[in-house]
This record gives sequence, C-alpha cells and structure tokens, in this order.
Amino acid sequence: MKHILYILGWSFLILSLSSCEDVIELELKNDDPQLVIDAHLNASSQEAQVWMSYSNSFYDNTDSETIDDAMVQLIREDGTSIIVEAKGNGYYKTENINAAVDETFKMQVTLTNGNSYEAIAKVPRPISIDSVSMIATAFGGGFGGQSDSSKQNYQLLTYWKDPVGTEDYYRLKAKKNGADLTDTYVVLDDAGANDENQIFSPFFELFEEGDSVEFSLLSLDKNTYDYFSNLADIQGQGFGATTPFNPENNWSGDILGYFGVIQVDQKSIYLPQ
Amino acid sequence: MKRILFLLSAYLIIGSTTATAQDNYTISGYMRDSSSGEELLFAGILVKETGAGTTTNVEGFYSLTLPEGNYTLEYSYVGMQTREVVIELKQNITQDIELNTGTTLVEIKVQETKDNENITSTEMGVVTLDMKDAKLIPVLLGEQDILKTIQLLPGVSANSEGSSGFFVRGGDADQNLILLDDAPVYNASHLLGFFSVFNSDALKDVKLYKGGMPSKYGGRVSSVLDIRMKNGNMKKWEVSGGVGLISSRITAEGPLKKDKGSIIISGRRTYLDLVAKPFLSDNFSDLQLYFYDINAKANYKFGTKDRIYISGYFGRDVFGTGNLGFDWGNATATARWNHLFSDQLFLNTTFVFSDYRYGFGVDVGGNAVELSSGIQDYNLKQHYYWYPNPKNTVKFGWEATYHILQENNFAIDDVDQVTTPSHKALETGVYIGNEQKIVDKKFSAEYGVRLSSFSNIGAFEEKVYDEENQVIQTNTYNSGEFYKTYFAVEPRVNMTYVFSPQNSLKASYTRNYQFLHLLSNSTSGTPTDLWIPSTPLVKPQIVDQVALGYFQNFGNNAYEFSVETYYKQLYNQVDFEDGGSALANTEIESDLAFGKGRAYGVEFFLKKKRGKFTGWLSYTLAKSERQFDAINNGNWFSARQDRTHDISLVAMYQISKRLNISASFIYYTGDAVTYPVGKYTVDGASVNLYGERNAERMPDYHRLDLGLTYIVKDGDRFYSDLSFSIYNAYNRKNAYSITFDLDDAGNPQATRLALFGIVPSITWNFKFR
Repeated sequence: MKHILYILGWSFLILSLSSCEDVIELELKNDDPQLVIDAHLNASSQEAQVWMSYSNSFYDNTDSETIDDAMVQLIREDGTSIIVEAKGNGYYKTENINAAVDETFKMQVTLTNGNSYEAIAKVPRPISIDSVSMIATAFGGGFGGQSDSSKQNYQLLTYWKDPVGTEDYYRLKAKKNGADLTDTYVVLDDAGANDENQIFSPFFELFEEGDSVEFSLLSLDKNTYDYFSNLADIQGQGFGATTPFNPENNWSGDILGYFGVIQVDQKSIYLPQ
Repeated sequence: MKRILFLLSAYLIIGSTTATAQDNYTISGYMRDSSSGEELLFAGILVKETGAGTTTNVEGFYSLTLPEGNYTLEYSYVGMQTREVVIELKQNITQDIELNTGTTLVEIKVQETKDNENITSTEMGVVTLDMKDAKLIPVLLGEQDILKTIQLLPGVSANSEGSSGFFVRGGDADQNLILLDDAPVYNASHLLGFFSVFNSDALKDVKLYKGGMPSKYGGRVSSVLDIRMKNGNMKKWEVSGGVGLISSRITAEGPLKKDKGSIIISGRRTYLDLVAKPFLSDNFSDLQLYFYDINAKANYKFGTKDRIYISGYFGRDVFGTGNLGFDWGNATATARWNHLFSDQLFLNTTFVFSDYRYGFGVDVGGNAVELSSGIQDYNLKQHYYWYPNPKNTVKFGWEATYHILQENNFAIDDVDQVTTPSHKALETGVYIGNEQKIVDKKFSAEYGVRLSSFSNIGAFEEKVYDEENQVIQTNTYNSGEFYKTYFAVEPRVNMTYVFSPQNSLKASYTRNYQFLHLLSNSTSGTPTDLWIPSTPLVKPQIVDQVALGYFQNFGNNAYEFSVETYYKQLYNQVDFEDGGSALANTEIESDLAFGKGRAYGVEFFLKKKRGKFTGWLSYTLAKSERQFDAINNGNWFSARQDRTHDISLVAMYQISKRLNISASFIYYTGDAVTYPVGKYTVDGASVNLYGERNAERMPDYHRLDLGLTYIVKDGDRFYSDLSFSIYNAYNRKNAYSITFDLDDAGNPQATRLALFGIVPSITWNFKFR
C-alpha cells in the first residue's frame, strides 16, 4: 500500500511553483549521545554486517564515536552461535552463515560495560526483479531547476512477482551512476499487487538520459519493514509531513538502529542518450 | 438534568405569558433591503416607549407581542438608515419593512440608538463579519475570502500560511462546524487550502460562534460558522463580477417575479495553470491546476405564509498533468420551506444532501492507479421559532442525518484492489432553547439543551485489535443493524448582565459533542485527510467550555471594546499513533491513539466602527495542550496550533468617496513543532534523533498586507472598481516547514520552506444594475 505514498509525493513537487527554500541557522537542543546498532543479515550473500556507534548533535560535522570492543553473536534456533567479528571503526562482519528461508536468528550484543542487547528476525523468502521499465516523463525540467531541462527525464518502474498466500514486505534501493540514493526510502507491502500478483513501484527520484541505474530489491522481515516505513514517514517532510518521531525497533533495550534479515536481488538499466 | 431544564423553561415561558395575557397583539413581518429585497438577518427592532426589542431571525423574520396601545417602532440595521414607524396596536399586524442603504456618514448616524447590540445581546464569543468590510481588506492574490478575514479576529487563527483552514480557541481544524445555508461543508478549501470554497459575491451573512453556541447547533466541538447565501435581488436584474490575475467570477441575480421570487447564480473559475504555463518548460504543456465552483439559489413565496428555497453548490478541484491527478470537491443540494403557522410561530424545514468526495489518480506505466474516499449526508431538520411575548424567544426543533462514509477505495485499471467497507451512521439531535429577558434591560439569558445520538449501522465487519495492532476478533453486523449507539446531553447557557447601555458582563457554559473525526497526518490540509465516524472503539469527542466576558462601548457606540476569557476541557480526542497514516490505510483503527486536551486564553478586541477611519485590533494570549497515553510517553504536549501570542491589526481609511486604502498586520507565535536533538547513521543514511513532541517553536510568523480600492465609476446603471493588493508587503520569509537533512556535500542543514514572498495583485470588479 505504501507505494501510493511515493506516487503522491510526486504531486507535491508541483507546489514548489511559488515557494522558496533557504537554509537557516537554528539553535537546537542536544541530547546525550545514544547507542546505535545498525545490523542486518543478508540471506542472499550469507553475510552479517553490524555498525555500532553513538548519535551526535545535529550540527556536528565530525564522525560520530564508534564502538569496536563489543561482543556480537548470531544465535540460531538450535542454540549454536556465530561470532560477528570486529573489523575496526565500529564495523563488524561475518560470512558463510548458511541461513535458510523461515529460519529465525537472534543477534546478541554485549558491551564492555556489561550492557547487553538482543533482537530477533526471521529470514524472508528470496525475490527477483522481473524487469525495469522506463517512461519518459514531464516532471523535472520545469520546477526547482534541479535537472537539466534540455535532457529527457525518465520515471523508472521496477516489476516483480509477489508470492501468493503470504504477507511479504519489500524495499527498493537504487544507485545512480554508482552512488547510493539515500534521500528516499521506498518501502512497500504486497497489498498493492495486481491481478497477476505483480507489483510495480516507481522510485521517488528522477533519472535522465545517460544515467546508469542499479536497483536492489530487498525482501524484508516484518520488523525491518516497520522500521523502514517509519523512516519513510519521517522523511516525507514539508508537504504531507507527519509529526516527526523516533522509529520503534526490535532491540531489547532503549537504543537506536535495528536488526533485520533481508534477501536481495539486483538489476541494472542504462538510459540511452 | 434535562427534565429540570425543560420544566424550568416551560415554567418561565408560560409564567411570563400568562402574566401579560390580556389584550396582547402581535406585530410581525420581514425586514428587507429596499434596493435588492434581500432579507436582513439579525436586524434590530426597538419599541421606543418601553425599550423592549427583538431581532430578526436567520430568515429575516421578526415577531413582537405587546399589550394594546400606541407604539413607535425603530427598525435598524448596520450600514442602513434607521426607520421609525408609528403603530396603533389593537389587532395583530403584519408589517414588512424595507430599509434604505445609508450612503453618507450623516445618514448612518441616525442608527446610533440600536447600535449597542454587542452589549445587550446574550451572545458572547460570537463574531459577525460585515461583508462590506471584508471586501476592503487586502488578500492573497486578490481573491476575497471570508475564511481568511475571520482569521483576523481574536481567538481565530490560520491553519498555516495562505490557508483557509482555521483554528478556534485552541481547537483542531475539524472541530469547526461549517454550514452553508444549513448544509455541512466537510472540506472548505480549494487548491490544497489556499482558497476557501465560499465565493464572497454570493454570500449575505457570516456568523462565527467561538463559544456559547445555541442548542440549535450540534456535531462539532470548537465552533460554528454559519454562512448564509444571498437570496437574489427581488426588484431587478443585476450582473456583477470580477476579473483577477488568477481567477474570475460572475454573479447574476434577479426576480423570477417581482417581490415574489428571485434567483441567483454565481460562478468562479481559477486559471493558475494558464498563468503559470509561460513560465514552465514544454514538458508541462498538459498541466492542469484550477478549480471552479457554482452557487445557485432560487426562492419563491406562496401566499403570505409560505416560501420555498432551493439551492445548490457544486465545486471541483482539478490538479494534475497528463499522467497524474487529484480530483476532489463538494456538492450540496438544499431544499428549504419556511412556513408561518401564526404571527408568533415560524417554521423552517430543510432537507440537505451533501456529497464530499476526493480522488487521486495516476498513470503508472500505463496502469491507472486510483484512490478515492468520500462522505455522503442526507439531512432533514426542522427549526421552530416561537415568539410568545417580547421577553421570550423560543427555538426548538430536531434533525436527523444519515451519513455514509467511504474510506480508501484503491483500484488499478478500474479493478478494485482494496476496498474498505463503508461506514453508515445515523446522527440525530433534538433541541430546545429560550432567549429570555429576565430583568428588563438588565439581565437576560439564553439557555437550552440539545439531546444527540449517533448510531453505527451495519452491514459492517468490525475488527478488534490488540496492543500489537494484530486483529484478535472480528464482529460481524447485519445490514440495517444498529450495533453501537452513543447518547449525549449538551446543555448550553449564556447570560448577560447589562450595567448600562454602554457596558455589560457576560458568562457562558456549553457542552458540545462531535461524532465525526478528521484524521490528518499532515499540516497542509491535503484532500487525503480522512473523516472517520465514532465507532465502538472511537468515542465521540466532548468539549466543555466556560467563558466570561466584559463588553464596553464608547464614543457614542463608535468604538467597541471587549475582553473575553475561556477555559476548555477536551475529552476523547483522536490522533494517529507515531507513524500512523490515513492514506491508503485499510486498518485505520489499529493506528489510532486516544487522549484529552485543555485550552485556555484571554482575547482582547478593540474596534472602531464608524468614521473615515475604521478597523480593529485584536490580541489573544492562549494555551492549547494535549495528552495521549500512546504519544510522547504519555506526557502533556503543546498542540501544534498553540500560539501563545496572536495579534491582528486591521485598518481601513476612506480618503475620498472614490478611494479607500487598507492594511492588515498579523503576528503570532510560531507553531509548536518537533526538532531534532541529534543525528545518527542507519544503512548508510543520516537519520535525525527527535526530541519531545512539539517542544520547540517555529520562528514567529508576521506579515503586512496592503490594499487600495479605487472606484472607477459609480453610476446608476454601472459600477466598477479596481482593487490592488500586496500580500506580505515586506517579503517576510515565514516558514511553512523546516526540514533537517544533509546537503549534497554531507553537511547538516536546516532548510526553511517559505510559500509566499511578496505577492502583488490587481482585480477589476464590476456591476451592471
């Protein structure tokens, strides 16, 4: 259902017609640094990756403080555990996990001060992108002046088949000319599937001729879907903004970040000149 | 409670009737504008010998019952010449009165005697808007808009920049009952909120109750905005209109049969898309961005006792390009029958059909994706006005509304993918109220009670959710089954103590219920907001309000001053849990949070009514807070519209007969908003860490608008003027929203979006008569 939101988002672009945007300086309060554990298991590549750090103040431009001495483990349903190794700079990684669909994993993180955090996630089924289609669109050139109006703009639609009889959750990510597009979260469930159980989603970003774009379709567990849909809600600021809040996550303690299990499929497209 | 009130009012009315029973006769009739034949609403009638008096009702009808004798009656109305009529009352008399427009200042002076209505009436928290004033006040893009003019009054403030949505005394935008000729208007906005649906040319009278609502009104908890359309000129045909930069309008009105029936048709169309097109790239050649609306009303008198009105409103917004579009609008049809049982009993029977719907469609890769919602209302009501004697005016009646609320139909290529079953409900109200002069010229009161009910009607499948928002039970109700009914008792009391003709003290208490709730997770008033009914889970909203006010006139009633203070307690408030969204949500009830609120404040108002220089100054000091267990850790937080200070200054100056200038200045404390208190990184992207809900403030809002109206020609047959306005004259960049993110180089930044800079405009208005 969420993908209607992205469609809607387009229309708000039109309102930039008479408005003006500028950067202002505001005095903001600062909370004490809070622990962030950003962790996921990629069941397609059989890797687990964790980034551990503290939050910093909004205007702080330096790298935030990281944690390199935590004990990170993945615990399987049978109780066996896998260590996720510290690689420095707050980064932890392990490979060759051999996770199977519907298997449940618990991640356990223990800090040197004795504090311990846990989160559980289940492996979703893999999914593959059927196709990516491009549609020449009017959007872009006219408003905001962000793209070159002499070039043809494209809206890109990604298509895939949704398995019948299960609740499935997805996230679509994109790289444009090698760079991650991180401004927008495209997160959706399967309620919008059509008669052939096909789902299509636009990406909330304009592409133009000459771009090469790589889409990653992520199949998500429910917790990860909820977490990223909350991020998407907060992201939609300005027109149609929700009152901002901190998304709930599946960690046992009052910390930031999430632990999710994903499956990934990728497809690239080049927009000819 | 209600029994006692009934008994009490019955006793008071009958008691005072019998005391003066012998040789009483009634004088009754209509008051009208002599040039157009339009009825004058809330006009004054004063008996000079006794000092007693009354006012006309919403149909322009009055009735006075007096002992046999000779009387001088003084008929007056703001901006019109007062007329004195000497009568010999020895039988019942029908006396229709026509007043002439007061064209010079000298003539207007005549009306001073009955110019202290604001002091003596039982009404408080009431704002009436002079449509002539409203025409002189500068506005955005030159489009006259009563909803923006009322925002300049104390206790009323704008939803957001340029918006026609409004908040009254700390309440939410959906808590205002907006009635156009008795028909409810669910979305009073065009074009994402920048224009209201009310075409000023077709309006006769506007009255806003911020508190002390009479028992006649029900269904919303914050305020009642009662808007009356013109009936149309009974004497001769007239065509008037205006041509502006982004919109044009035209109104035609005239008699169907002189002094028997008339008709008025008014239309309006904006053409922002056509204006914008030259500035856009060719890619936008198919852009559509406009609205149109049509008001039509016809009335006819059958004999002296009956009159039929038929009116309709149709408005549509179209917003889109070749492959995407919004489409929404209101349509209402009203049939009204006025009947005079006797010269003391007046009946108004109204049937209203109202249809509000909105749709959103987009072409995605050749697939038509559509989302639509709507509300339909069938409403039947009877209002009785009974004038037993000059001390009492009794109003009683009933109404019943059948609501059909359709939420979130989602279709691809015309095939429904997700449909939510429609909610059906019956809302009823029975009321009685009396306006009584308890101690002549000193103490008067308006008191009444309204009994309301709201019933959910099947067929419906109700889902029950646990704390994790999972469905734990489904209750199935059959077609026609009343599966949940709420009953409500709403007492309303206003009291006035008049110290002298120049000053008075007033107090009021009201309890209001609201059974329909607007869910909105945005601040911009988009048509994607969703109306939901009260259900077994969603309880009706209740607001208790007490208010106290002091009213003082001076300078021969040329100046009005008032100070009013109020306290409101809000119960069963509805909001989204964090992350809840109305759009395309088929399980809305799982995302709701319930809480309470409080709002209080003091409003100062100083107005100069007469002379070359007129205008007003209003200042509101207020607070509005909410508490929801599921939001902000259960702590109290400021409502978004909690504007501590709110100042409006409006000034109009008549330089000559042809030239008027005007200015308005607004200042209010920035909205309560949630700002980041830090940031962190998840999945390679920066995420803001937010602090307590609505703990911070947007920058203060202030703006100066200037206006100038020059009358080009004012002849017998033709009138025209040019009206210039400058919105936001010193180009203040008022923040509509502030976003916190990283710039392209990865540096954190706060970005302010300002919607309107300085906006000059010009409109040409004309009238053939």
